[in-house]
Amino acid sequence: MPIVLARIDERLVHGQIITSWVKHLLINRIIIVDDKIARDEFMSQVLVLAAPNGIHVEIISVNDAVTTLKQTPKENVLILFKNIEYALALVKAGVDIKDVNIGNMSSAPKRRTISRNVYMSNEEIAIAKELADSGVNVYLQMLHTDAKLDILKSI
Amino acid sequence: MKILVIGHGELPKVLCETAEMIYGSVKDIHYLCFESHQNIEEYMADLKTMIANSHEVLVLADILGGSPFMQMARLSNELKEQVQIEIVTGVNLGMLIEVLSQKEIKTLTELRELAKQTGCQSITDLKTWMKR
Repeated sequence: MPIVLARIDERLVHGQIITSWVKHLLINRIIIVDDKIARDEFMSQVLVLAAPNGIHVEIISVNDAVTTLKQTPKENVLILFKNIEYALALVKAGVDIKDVNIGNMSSAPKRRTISRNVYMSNEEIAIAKELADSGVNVYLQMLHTDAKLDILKSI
Repeated sequence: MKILVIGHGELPKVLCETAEMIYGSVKDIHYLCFESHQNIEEYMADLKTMIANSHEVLVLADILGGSPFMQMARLSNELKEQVQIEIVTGVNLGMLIEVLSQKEIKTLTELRELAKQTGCQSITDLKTWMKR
């Protein structure tokens, strides 16, 4: 069972969106890759508690994720990123990720509208392009019932 | 003691206004709305502004795990040396009215417990209630 979904979602694990993906893809393990949150013991605890029932959630740094993902996981894994830079870091470190779903990035001062749920800055767009150039299929899709939109066609 | 109602969309605003309509105006009741495409860092800054200068705050959040709750949880940890903060989730009208009526005479911890109790007691069904 490989990585069934690698997704960028600023809201991370809580909410109906993640629950819907978990049910749709029969996910039983969520790995949040984020150096900043991994260092924050309190927020790591809160996030683990906020996850859907029965799902194993861990919050680890990029380096730890590279080690963990060296062996193909036995479970159906969802890798979640709050920041697209960590997705790129993981791909650059050689982790086998073929698709990256950009689900939700909220509006912010330096960001412009890409889609209803995705706002990106120039730096973030450059990262998405770099991912796409390295062979990763980067696409927009908020819910599994939505159509997938190729990022290169949307920016 | 400050009461702060937080949640998605206009829920906090409307809940406070409705409670005021029923119970009357009470001092130091505040709310903060989280609009659908609002930036989280901006929202966090607004939250901080609302509570950083207080000593005791009872926060009533709409739902466990939502962004308002998560940001408040984070903030309460950051400010734990400066402000006493309790966060209760699942705020409803019954809970809020009870909190309004008791805030001047209860401690923060007592009010937190009262909020949960009253919130739960607000939930029943007519037939069960009439049988009691």
